[in-house]
Amino acid sequence: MGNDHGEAGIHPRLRRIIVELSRVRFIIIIVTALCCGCAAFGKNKEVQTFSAASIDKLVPGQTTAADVTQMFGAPLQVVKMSNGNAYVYKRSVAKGTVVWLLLISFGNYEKQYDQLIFFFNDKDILTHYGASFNADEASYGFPF
Amino acid sequence: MQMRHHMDFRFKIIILLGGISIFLFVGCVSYQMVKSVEGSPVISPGTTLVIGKTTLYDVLFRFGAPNQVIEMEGRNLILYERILYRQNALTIGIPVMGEIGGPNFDFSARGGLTRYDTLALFFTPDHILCDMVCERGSHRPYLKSLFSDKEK
Repeated sequence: MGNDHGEAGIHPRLRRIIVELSRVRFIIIIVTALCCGCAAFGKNKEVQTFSAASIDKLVPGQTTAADVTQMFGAPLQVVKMSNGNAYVYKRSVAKGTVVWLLLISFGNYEKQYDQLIFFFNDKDILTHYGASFNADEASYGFPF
Repeated sequence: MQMRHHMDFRFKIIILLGGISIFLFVGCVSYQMVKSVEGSPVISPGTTLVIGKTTLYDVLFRFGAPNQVIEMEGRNLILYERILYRQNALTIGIPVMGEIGGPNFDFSARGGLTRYDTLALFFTPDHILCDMVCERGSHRPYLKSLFSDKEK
């Protein structure tokens, strides 16, 4: 009766501090529990050694299929076209990220290519070519 | 009496929260989100490509090297493609025998969706654009596409 310090005999201020500390401890435990986990990063490369600088040496109407293979090496694929052939050069970079948290896990995988394609007529003379260099754009990240 | 009742109620709440926490923290509930992308964004042709006028040179200059080249009975097809895969999974279970290879009490729901952005360009043997198709699969909504019974 008439006890200002409550039934346990603790000063209200001290009690408030204890409650506050318990709350903080609880939040720390929850955050730690949710954030503990592991992460993995991976990178895969499909290598084909061709140089982007060699493209400047190509002259449609003059360059032959033999010149192209001398400059860029053996193509990955040769496709028979209606009026000649197409030589395909391709290499890729793939990057993967996996993050495991306690309740949630995220996985992200990105694969990008460097590609060259050369079109030859039925006399093996270069008629057209196209190039895309996007392999360096592959990145690690989250799926959102 | 009222104080005791209050304490009992608080104790029950703590027990309940503790039970839920144990259930969650031992790995019984987990959510996985996976995304996979292959290839660069496919540029929309818009009005830049004109059938009967645009040449193979214009296309290669503007869009770069295609992902695929195919010969189709006198016509040549070049294909620009980007593949997007997304998967979400929710697993609820109790890993009782998992470590020794036995069965688990496990209930899981998974949904995986692969979408394609494709630009298909058909050329005559003279390298003139004669037909084109552009499909933007990535614009389709994930859940609606996943749960739709329709093929398209």
